[in-house]
Formats: sequence, C-alpha cells, structure tokens
Amino acid sequence: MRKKIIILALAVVLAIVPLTACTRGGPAGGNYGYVKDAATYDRNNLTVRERPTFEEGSTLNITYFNGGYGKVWLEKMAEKFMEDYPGVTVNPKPVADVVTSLTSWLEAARPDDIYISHNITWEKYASQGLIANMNELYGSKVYYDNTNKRDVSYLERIAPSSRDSAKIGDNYWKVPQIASAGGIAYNMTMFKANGWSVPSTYEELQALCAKIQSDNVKFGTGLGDVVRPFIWSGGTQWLWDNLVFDWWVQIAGLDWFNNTWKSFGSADVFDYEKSPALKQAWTHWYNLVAANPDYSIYGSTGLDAVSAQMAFASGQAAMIPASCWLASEITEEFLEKANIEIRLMPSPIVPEAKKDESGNPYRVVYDLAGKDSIVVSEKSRNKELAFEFLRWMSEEENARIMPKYANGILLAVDYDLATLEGDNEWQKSMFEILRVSDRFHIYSSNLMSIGGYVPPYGSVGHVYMEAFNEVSDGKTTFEFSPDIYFGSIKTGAADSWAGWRKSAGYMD
Amino acid sequence: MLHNGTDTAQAVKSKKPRSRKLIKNTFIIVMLAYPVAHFLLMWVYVNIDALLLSFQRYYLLREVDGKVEFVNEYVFVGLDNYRLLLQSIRIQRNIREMLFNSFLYFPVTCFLSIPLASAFSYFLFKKVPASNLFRVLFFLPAIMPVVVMTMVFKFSFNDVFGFVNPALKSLGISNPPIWFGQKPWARITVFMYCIWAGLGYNIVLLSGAMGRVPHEIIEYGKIEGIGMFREFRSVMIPLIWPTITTLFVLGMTSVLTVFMQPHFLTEGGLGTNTISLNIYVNTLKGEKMTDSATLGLFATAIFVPVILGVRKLMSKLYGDVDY
Repeated sequence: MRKKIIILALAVVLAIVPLTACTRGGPAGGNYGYVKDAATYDRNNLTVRERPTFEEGSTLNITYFNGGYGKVWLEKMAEKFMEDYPGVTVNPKPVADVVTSLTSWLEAARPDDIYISHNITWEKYASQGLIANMNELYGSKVYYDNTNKRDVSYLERIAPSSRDSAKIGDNYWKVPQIASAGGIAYNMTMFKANGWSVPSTYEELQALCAKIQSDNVKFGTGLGDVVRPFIWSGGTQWLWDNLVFDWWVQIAGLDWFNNTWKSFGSADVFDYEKSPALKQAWTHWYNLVAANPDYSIYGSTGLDAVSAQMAFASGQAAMIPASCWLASEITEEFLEKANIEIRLMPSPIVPEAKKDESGNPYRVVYDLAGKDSIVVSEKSRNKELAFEFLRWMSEEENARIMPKYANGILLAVDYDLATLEGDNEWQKSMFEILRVSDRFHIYSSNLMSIGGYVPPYGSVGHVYMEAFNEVSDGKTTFEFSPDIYFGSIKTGAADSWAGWRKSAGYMD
Repeated sequence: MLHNGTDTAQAVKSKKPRSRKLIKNTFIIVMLAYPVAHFLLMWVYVNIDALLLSFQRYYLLREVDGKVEFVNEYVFVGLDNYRLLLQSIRIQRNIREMLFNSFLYFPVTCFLSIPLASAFSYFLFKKVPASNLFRVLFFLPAIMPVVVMTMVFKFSFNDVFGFVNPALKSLGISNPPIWFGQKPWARITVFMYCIWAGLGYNIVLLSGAMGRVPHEIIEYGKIEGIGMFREFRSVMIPLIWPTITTLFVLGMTSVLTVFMQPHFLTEGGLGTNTISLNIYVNTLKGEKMTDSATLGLFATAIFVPVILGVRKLMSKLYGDVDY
C-alpha cells in the first residue's frame, strides 16, 4: 500500500513539473521612446530608401484571415517582394480563422512572423509580451523627400486617420491593415435602367425608396416578385453602422467624435439630451428602414451575409448596406455574369449635418474595417525581415497591389488618392468617396473602450434587427423606438459608469 | 575488493528482482503520469483557476498619474464580480434573456427530445418497414460536423434561397416565418435543430438498451395480449429506465453546455444566447474573463444541485433493473 502511495505521489510530481511552466503571460512591455508625429512631404519627389539585404534562404511566414479581402492581393505582394529581395521567400498562409488560435500560435516556440486579421486583441498580446513593439518600425525611413531634404517615416506613410488606432500611450504595437469606405452600395445598372438618381440628401433617399416601391419593377425569375429598395442580412446587421455612424458624425462633427466620444470623459456621451447626434442618426434610420418593413426584401433578417449579397447581385433589391469588401466577396466574375455594375454611394446628408467653412455639407465616411490589424510576433526569428516587408508594403507602388487585387480595398497607407483611378465602377466610387470625405473609425485606446464597456448602442446586440422586427411583427410596445431606446442607454450608462471605470482600470 | 565467481553470481541473482521492480515501478509511474497530468491540468487546474478568477478582476491596462500603462495583473476583489453579475441580471434584459433561454434547453431536451427518441427507438426496435434506413437517417446528423449541419439546416430555412418557405408559400402561407430572423422563431428553430441533430445519439443508446431487454419478457407480454403502447409504457420504459435516467441527466447539463448550435445558427441573437455561448464569445475576445468565470460558477452552483437532485429522484422512480 505504501509503495502504491509513493508511486502515485511520484506520478503526481512528474505530472506537475511540466504544468509549472504554465503562466498567465510575461510582464508588460518596456518604456519605449516617443515617436514623432506625422508631417507633410512632397509625394511627387520621393526616393525609396536603400533596401537592406537578407541572408539567402530567409523565409517570412505570414498567417492571414482569408475572408472578404481574398488571398490574391497577398500572394501578389509576396511574389513582388521576392523579386525585390532575391533570396527571400515569403510564405502567405490563408486560414479561415485567426482569432481563435492566435494566442496559442503566438505562445508557441516558433510562431509565424506576421499575423493579419480582424478582431486581434493586440492590446492584450502587447501586455503579455507576445507581439513586437513597433516603435522602431514607425520611426524608420521609407522614402527620402528630395524637395524638403528629409526622410519620410513609416508613420507618415500610414493613413492619417488610422494612426491613432495602433498605439497605447507612446508605443505602437500594430499596423492598421485597412483604410477604406463603407455606406450603401447600389445596383448602378438597375438605377440607370429605371431612371433612379443617386440621392445626395436624406430627403432624396426617402423619396428614392418610395419611388422604387411605387415603380414595382419585376426582377428576373418571373415569379411576380418586385424589386425592393433594400436587402440586408440579419447575420451582418451591423453593416447598417456604415450608414448610421456616417450620419452620427455628420451631425456631431469629427472633432466631437474623436475628442469627446472617444475619450469617454463622462456618462454624458450616452446622454441623448447632451449628446443628441447618435439618437438623431438612429431616428433617421428607424424612420426609413425599421418603420418601413416593406422597403426591405421579406426575410432579410433571416439571411446570412452571402445570401443577402447574392440576392442583391441578382437584382432583387436596389441597395444594400455595405463595407469595402462587398464587391470582393460577391466576386467580379459573378457581377460580370449577372451583367451588373455596383457602386458605393456617398452617405446622403441628413438635415442636421454640420457644414464646412465654405457652407458645403460635411462629408465623412465610416470604415468598419478600420480595426483590422497586422502584428509581428515577439518570438519571430525574422523580425527585421517582417518589419522590412511592412515598410515595403507602405510604398505607394506596392500598396496599390491591394486595391488592384482586392477590388478597391485600400491598405491603411497614405495613398496618393488623387491618382488612384480604379478598374471598375465599384473601385472608382470607393476612391471618389475617400477623396472627398473625412474617414473615421471607432477604435479608441480609452480603457473603457478597450475593455468593451462602452459600445455606442450599449450592451444590447443586434439592435437594427430587433428594431426592425418589433415594427414588422406588429408589436404595440417599441423598445427600440428612439426615445425609449436612447432613454435606456442613458440610464444604463449613468447607473454603470463608476463601475465601468473601475473595472476598466481607472484609479479614481 | 575482488569477488570470486560464486559471489558475483549471487550478487547478480539478488540484484535482478530489484532492477525488475525498478523497471516495473518506473513503467507504472510513467504510464500513470499522463492521465494524472491530464486530470490535474484539465480538471483540477481549470476548475480551481476558474474559482479563483471569479474573485479577481483582470487589469490589462491602468491609468496611473494620467498615463496609461500595461499592468496585466489580476487583483482580488472578493465577491464584487458576483455583485456585478446580480446587478447585470437586474438591469440588463439580454442577460435575463440568456439565462431564460439556457434554462429552456432543460424541457426541450428532457421532455421533447428524449421522449421522441424513445418513441422512434421503439419503432426501430419493432422493426417497422425500412427501419434500417430510418436508423441511418436518424444517426446521420450525429456524425456530421456541426458546422456543415448548421449551414445546411440554415440554408434550408433561408427565405430567399431555401426550400422550406417556398414550400409553405405554395401551400398558401403568404408570409411564412422568418425562421432565423424573427422572435420567437429564431429560438424555436434553434431548438428544432437541436432536437433533430440530437435524436441520432439518443436513439443509438436507447435502441441498444431496448435490444438488451430479454425476449421472454416481450413474449410474455404478447401472450398476455398487451398492445404496442402498453408494451412501450409498462414493459419497455421501466426496463430501460437506467438509460433514460442517464440521458435525462446528460440532457439537463445542456442548460450549461450548449453553445455551438446557437453560435452557428444565430450568433446568439434574437433571444438565442446561452450561458456557455456568452462565456465562449467573451473568452475568445479575451474580454471579461473574470466575468465569464463568475457567470459559469454562478450557473453551476445553482444548477448542479438541481441535476443531482433530479438524478436521485429518477433513480428512485423505478429502482435498479437487473436482467
């Protein structure tokens, strides 16, 4: 019996030894130097830096999310990089899901060098020492500006509207992947055929929807179904953010959004009486879409993203809420076969929108993809090569590979937008919108935002679908009507504010 | 010191059993090490860690003197997480809805799925025509990957491209339900999927139990002239009761464990969120890990005694079966 106990004890000891290696991650990152702010440079008179050389046989492994952007853009980039850097191999690995396994990949003894995906919780990985600090990269030279006789840094090559989404304090930990546009996509071929005009104001959008309804246009199947103004997917109902957030910032102004909303100074940002813009934007959406269930194809809320896109591309509806990846996901081949051209429309201007100094409507564009990230693993054995690849990607010529092969989707690079032309109507419309609009994203490095305590619509998910359903189902109480819904958001924030701050890490 | 030949032979003889014992013990230790490690890591460590997490709060960052710094630390907060959970249940409709929806898996699994599976198993046991085909049809969903099954199922109910709604429309129902995009249909359809996909597993176990019921008892019933319903209710059910009890208890645990089906079908929207889906999503995002641990333990603390009580009650109902 005693021997059995000893054997069991030894087995326990043998089992425990490897377990002692399990910890909750390393210490916080060190204190790195300050990275200077962006400055202007003469983009017409630049010389590319002298490129470093790498050991023959060096391999750069890149794991990336193979989603709406496709994989051709990165494969083409890899090919060109290998031409520019002889002896180096770039190995892009598309995967269906990066997020679920990323922690274990980064913790592995030999992780890949670069990871690209949406929803990377880079703040957590930075704090655990799993991803590389990028201050050195951001401060490094990409071009030499011959006019101003100075270096152009990597930071300056990042799209200005994305720069604040990559750092905590003074330290950069990620490269923002995308800086594109979203809004309402429309079937340009159908618009032309029926004489419908692209609306430039909210009132025109209302009139357009009413006209599409009354025109009773039949679509191809001959089953008697008629074209509706909208189709959308309940599964990706958050795509409506592209329109509603545009309206929100049209009304509130980008300064308020960036400096007041994103700083979450008090619960007043959720008080619709003191900060009314989001409620006003929601009201416009509610009155247009939720209050008119017939404007949406019957069953939209039950569709997944692909079904909604296919129904749109096959001409069942005139418009669809969309982000930059819509055309890439539908695919050019499908659009060609369906013989239609689609475009992204600039979000119509709402009556309360601010005006610029010249009295023109204030144009903004929300980028849902603005939170997508590129990170370099701390344990990468090719960190310098990884950084060089990112520097190389930011060069104008190389950065243009992405929109060419991902149907107009732009990297978060300071492109020369004036010279971006586009190969089709979708790309042209995207670039036109970006040329005339202030792009914004919703990322904030505020602790409450990082902790997930302060999403714009509070803790309730699927708000567009819930609001739409309560009207279309003929309910008599409306939890999501603007007054009731924003009243509950205001009360919830006021009640929970102190707790959120404490939980998020504020020491007051 | 030198030994003569006899001494050496004796020494070798006496050492042999000892070294064999050493090898034997080492072998046992090594063989035991893996399961013990697995148990320690996957059960003891995980559960103790979850328990400890529920009394802590994680700080990724902190603002110190107006400057944000990485801290990456866990701080003991006593019962504060439990207080906040109860506050959330009181304030947030979606949390209450999640708990209610999770609880509904108990009646759906135990009072719909298991009785249905028992009935189907009985028909298969009675060798109704094409019973082998039905056996395959019932079991097929249980061996297919959940992702594929949910995709196929969801696509069938899709209003634009699916076949269910066009079929209903052709029967004169002009506005059929939007199965995955409308309350309460989203919840009902997820339950329908769970019942459909879960039938095969239950049927295999119940058919196995029915197959072991002695033929003599069935024959005796026939001689006594009992019908199929009476045979099912008075003979079969009591004799397979231990299997039903096991399935019932396993079915009850679905309250705490179902997450993949609502995740793939509705992403937890429209009242279909569950406790484990909530924990899964938050853990995946790396957010609110301590809140997830608190929710998990809170739900376990409430539901596990209920499950144990029901198990005891059920095992008393018919007593042990021995044949």
